[in-house]
Amino acid sequence: MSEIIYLTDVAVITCVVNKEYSEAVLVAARDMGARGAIVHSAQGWGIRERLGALGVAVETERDVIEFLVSSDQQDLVFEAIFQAAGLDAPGRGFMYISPVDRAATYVPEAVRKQLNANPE
Amino acid sequence: MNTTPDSAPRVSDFPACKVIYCILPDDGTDKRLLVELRKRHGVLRAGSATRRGVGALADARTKRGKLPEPQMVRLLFATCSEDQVDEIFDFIFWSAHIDKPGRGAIWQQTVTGGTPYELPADVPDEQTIS
Repeated sequence: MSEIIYLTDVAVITCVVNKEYSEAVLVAARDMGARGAIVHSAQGWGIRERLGALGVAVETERDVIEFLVSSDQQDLVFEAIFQAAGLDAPGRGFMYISPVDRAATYVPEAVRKQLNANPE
Repeated sequence: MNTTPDSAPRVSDFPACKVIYCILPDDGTDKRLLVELRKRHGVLRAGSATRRGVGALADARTKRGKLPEPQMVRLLFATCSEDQVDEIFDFIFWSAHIDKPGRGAIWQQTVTGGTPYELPADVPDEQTIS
């Protein structure tokens, strides 16, 4: 059993976006180096009632997409997602970044050796 | 809930705690871990939910510019106190074999307050497959 390599300087970006923009968000984040994402469906509730015409509520099916990214990447990924999803348009969605104390995952042997040789 | 102004709970009554999140394959590991977390560590503020996982490592089997097919994964979450968190983080890491490729990831976040949770006395234990 080897040691756990704790990854610090990590953040979670959570993006709540209309389903039709999910793929664009995922592609944009991947192109900026995000290593993966988890996605689930959600239904919006609340102010949407005021957005539809003649009392018909606007589409509320959303995807919630979460990315675990390094702090170095977080601004790049955040801005890429913002552009890809057009989050400056009303009703399109929103996102936020939350800090992570530490993370851990599989670290390939080559990277592990490199870290041991050069811990800085 | 019947509370008077003096007895009403306040946010400051609930101390800061840690939440551990863990992405796991959808193979029953989450259920096994939830049982272990309760029995070994007394963690009751925990659960798991289905997510669609999109992993960059799956790109090798994907056409250029296309996203890989998402896989069903489980997101396990466990809330615990600050003095428990190191032990539980390591326990989940090793029990779920997260050091192996394709076994997911684990991370820990701080929350500024969390309510306690207890199960009713008459709730039976979950059925486990032997």
